[in-house]
Amino acid sequence: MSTPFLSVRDLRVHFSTEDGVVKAVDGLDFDLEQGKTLGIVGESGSGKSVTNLAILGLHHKDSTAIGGEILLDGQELLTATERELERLRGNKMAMIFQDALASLSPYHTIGRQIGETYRKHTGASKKEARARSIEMLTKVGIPQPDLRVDDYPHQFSGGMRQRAMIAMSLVCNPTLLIADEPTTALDVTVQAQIMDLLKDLQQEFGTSIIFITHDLGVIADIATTSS
Amino acid sequence: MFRFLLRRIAGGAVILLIISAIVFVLFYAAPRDPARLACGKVCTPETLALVKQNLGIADPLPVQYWHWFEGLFVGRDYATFGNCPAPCLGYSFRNSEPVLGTILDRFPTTVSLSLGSAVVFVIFGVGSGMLAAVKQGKALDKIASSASLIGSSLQIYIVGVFAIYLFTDQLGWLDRPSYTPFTENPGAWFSGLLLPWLVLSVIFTANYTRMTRSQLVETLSEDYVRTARAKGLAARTVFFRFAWRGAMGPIVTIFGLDLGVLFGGAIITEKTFNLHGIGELSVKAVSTSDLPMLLGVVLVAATAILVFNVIVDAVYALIDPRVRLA
Amino acid sequence: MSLSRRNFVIATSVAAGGSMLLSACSSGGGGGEGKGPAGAKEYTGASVTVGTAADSKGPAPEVKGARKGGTIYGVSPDDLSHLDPQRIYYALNSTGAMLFARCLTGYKTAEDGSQKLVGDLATDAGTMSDGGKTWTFTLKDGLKWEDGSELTVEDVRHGFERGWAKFVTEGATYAQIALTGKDDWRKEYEGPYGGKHLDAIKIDKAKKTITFHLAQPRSDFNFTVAMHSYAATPVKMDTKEKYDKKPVSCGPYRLKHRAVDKSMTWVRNKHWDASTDPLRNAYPDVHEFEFGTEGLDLADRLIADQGKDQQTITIYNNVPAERMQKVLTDPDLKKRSFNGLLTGIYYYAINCKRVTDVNVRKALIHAWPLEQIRKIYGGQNSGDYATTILSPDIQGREKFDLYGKLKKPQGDPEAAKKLLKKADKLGMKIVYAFPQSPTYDKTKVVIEAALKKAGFDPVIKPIDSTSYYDQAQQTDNNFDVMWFGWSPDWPTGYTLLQPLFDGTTIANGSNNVSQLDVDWVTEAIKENVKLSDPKAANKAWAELDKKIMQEQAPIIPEMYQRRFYLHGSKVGGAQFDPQFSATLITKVYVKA
Repeated sequence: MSTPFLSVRDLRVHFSTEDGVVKAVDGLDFDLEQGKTLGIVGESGSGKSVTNLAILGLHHKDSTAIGGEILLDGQELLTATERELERLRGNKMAMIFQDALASLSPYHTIGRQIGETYRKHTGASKKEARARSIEMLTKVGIPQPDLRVDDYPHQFSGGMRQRAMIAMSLVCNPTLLIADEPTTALDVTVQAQIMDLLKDLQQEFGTSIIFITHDLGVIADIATTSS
Repeated sequence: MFRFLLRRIAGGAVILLIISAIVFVLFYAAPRDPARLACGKVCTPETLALVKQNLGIADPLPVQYWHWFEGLFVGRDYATFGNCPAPCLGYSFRNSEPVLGTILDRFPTTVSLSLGSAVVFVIFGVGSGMLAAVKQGKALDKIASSASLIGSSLQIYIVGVFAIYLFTDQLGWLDRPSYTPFTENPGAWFSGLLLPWLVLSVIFTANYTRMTRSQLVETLSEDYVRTARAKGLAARTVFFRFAWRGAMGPIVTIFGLDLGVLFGGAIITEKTFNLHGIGELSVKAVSTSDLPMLLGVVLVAATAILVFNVIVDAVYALIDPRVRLA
Repeated sequence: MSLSRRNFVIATSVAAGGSMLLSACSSGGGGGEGKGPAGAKEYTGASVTVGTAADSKGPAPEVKGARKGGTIYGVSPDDLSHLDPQRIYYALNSTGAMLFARCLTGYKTAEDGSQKLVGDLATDAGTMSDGGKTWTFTLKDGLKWEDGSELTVEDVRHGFERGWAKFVTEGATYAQIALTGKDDWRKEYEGPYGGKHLDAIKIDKAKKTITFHLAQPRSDFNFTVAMHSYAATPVKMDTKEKYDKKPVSCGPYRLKHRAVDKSMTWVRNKHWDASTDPLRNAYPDVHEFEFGTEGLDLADRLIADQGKDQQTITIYNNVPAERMQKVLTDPDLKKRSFNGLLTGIYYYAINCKRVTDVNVRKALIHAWPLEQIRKIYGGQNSGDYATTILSPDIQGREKFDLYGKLKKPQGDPEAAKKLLKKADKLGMKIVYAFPQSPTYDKTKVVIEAALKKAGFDPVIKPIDSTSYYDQAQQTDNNFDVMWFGWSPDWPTGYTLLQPLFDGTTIANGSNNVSQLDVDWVTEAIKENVKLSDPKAANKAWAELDKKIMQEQAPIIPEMYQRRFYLHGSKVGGAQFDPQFSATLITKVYVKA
């Protein structure tokens, strides 16, 4: 076993709520190697999403207490500054959310939303970003990507939106991709397509994936490790 | 977009007609006789009939309305005042001034008052709302929230009278409110309206603070805002490009409606500061049973609201692409 | 607004203005009880007399310490509604008219407030002949319009004839009725624009005389012609309807600029000759009117006394109740205030058609709680109890107190009950109607209590103030007692007793709200009018006043109201104008 690419040690996530402290995660350990997939299964509310938001540093800082350590490629994330995290997010580590309609901005075109990640991390021009967006849309199998790039999320179907989301998360070739129930909201055939797409892309880019789901069948399909 | 506008304008015209008809009917439903205003201390039936003839209210209601309506498009001939070219809104019962001319004379005052205070309350209201939303739960948020609660419970005539007393009568920092046309003397225009702007803004600022804060608190917790952060965008970019963009729609809507109402006359403010705008005119029209003037100001007020409604719809479509295609 | 002379038209006719009228009258508590009114100058009444030819000569007597020059600012909530003299009846309009319009006669006011009716355009207060049916006036020399042209007897006649113009509906109608002898006087003459003149007015251009041939004797016609409705209007510059916007001046000031509802600027009329004018001192170079400031705001501005407000007078508003205490207790403000009694009377009209038993009407007078009512108005500073129909300013008025109201202003329920028992009407239902306002909502409470105590069964009927007069003036209304008021147009008994108690005038919209229709009253009014000797007439009116109250008791007299007025610290010569209940605008000056 090589040195783990992502290593989580004794992770504790506690929220303070009106009813007292909720220990969402209490002493979690796991490792993930390059190019592998880690599946996380659990009932809703069992702390899966919180854990992964904590990796990206997207948890509510005021109401959440986090302990332990998260090492990504040797870098400690829990003590990283916001600026350091901004540089990592979308670039080295990316996330796909469950509800693509809600998670995509209704006010901006698909192309712009994909492209702005790219521009932020590579300093590319508008034109380059647009070309990259079309390229990514092509990769995730959106038909007529040079036209659809100017569409708004509400003009896409559910499956297409999730594909666009995947395109957006992979636009900077992240080494870690966290997929939080990426298929739950989709119907079965589309689910399968998305799963295939993720697998293909993982092979192409060598991305490590943390796959969160409550559906064991899905896990069996994709995970190399389950936790 | 063109067809949309055309449809809205046609609809607006129908609404204005209905409103004017309602005003006509309501006016005559009230147990008061505008003719008695000009009938002297010993008002004999003969004199009353003569007054009615002079005022053009001797005819049955539908005929009167038709004459009024006709005047809008082809003008009217008055025995006493001569020709009144279209669009003719008639002459005031109270002082025989042409209604249209009076309204045009008053409108700049109301527009100056409204726009000036809008600048102030949008800057302060939206600004403090943003700060409060960013600093949710912190001291600044609590200060802004309580200040806005106090502000929104204040009354213009109390704040206004107090402000005049303090800043004009006692300290002498600000000029006594007055209106000078901008084209005549921009300096006097500004200094004469500063106090009304600030006072009118106090009430509105509070509303906008609360609204901006609550809208932003809502959009800041939206999934797409989280996505934007997950993409590594800077907090400032996320705030303005995503959260604020989402919060803007409702604020613009309310702003448009507020402006529409203000253009129809900020009655209490104008009264408090002795500014001769549309609001003051409408109060006077009601209290003196001045039907032509009343119809005129109601039309202006309704038109302002309709116009701003259309503008709001158009701006909303620009902000939210989902509306554009729906 | 006040129920002031020439202003009561607002109370009776401006339905919409009703609420404003009432709110201005309201005095929500305050006001010291006990001592007399505490204003700087105590005003006790105009006590008008008729002056001589010498009194009618200009210039007006100098005001002590006055100087010429400067600007006096006059502030009012409302713009003047008319500038065409023939359309002027309101007190506010008349205050403005003092600057530019002149009549045959006018009131010359002394510093102590006493007044003399003297010739203004005329050389004296007129000569009566033919037992009061003919009145002759001679014009002074040197009268000019603002363009320098001569003011002639034709212009004076034109001012009377214009009263018939179709667009003139707001003015007084006394002269029209007196000249034609008809109530529907419009049918008798078509107005001056057809080229015809009234036969009843004769002019002699050479002698500069104008003679009125009245249908009936009118010994007080010289008072009638003092009304601005009968001011001179230049035949050659008469722009008819448009004259209302830009009148031609023959007074000390002419209209230089006007922004309707906002402001008016009056500057000197260089063709006005002070030596022709016994009434107007005209010290300031400019009178600047500003409109739109409400009474309370205006009072606060005058109290603050900043900048231009130091040179400001009110051309209409009195000190509102909310600021009375302050004005009466602050020595500086007291110095800058004056007060006066309104010439009119506030009263409660008893509907004689419904309350037919005189004893019941008398019982109502006994029961009425004047003291409690006045307390609500603001106590003694708000005015004096009324016991007569004629107010103190009226010539020949005799004070009497038939029902002991001055001794028992709180009401005398025992006396009332006794009368009710006598009439066998104990427990009688009495419907009291009043226009709703914060003040009258309070007075109704004490009235209701007093009526109950006196053995009545009161029913309180509040009425929307905008339609109050319309409803009260319906002959078939269901009210027994109605709040009302009346202001005479000149200080003789005729202008009070005729409109209020002449049985022949009873109709919808009539001011005989009591609907008193008693032959001897109507007859006495008819006879008194014919009395050619003013002294005898005055005496007859005073006797009729007492007799009506004694035998018919058709009203419950309430108050002669007192008003206080403020002015800026640099205003000199400010005193009460008993005619128009405001600052006497012709005598003010800017202090150095």
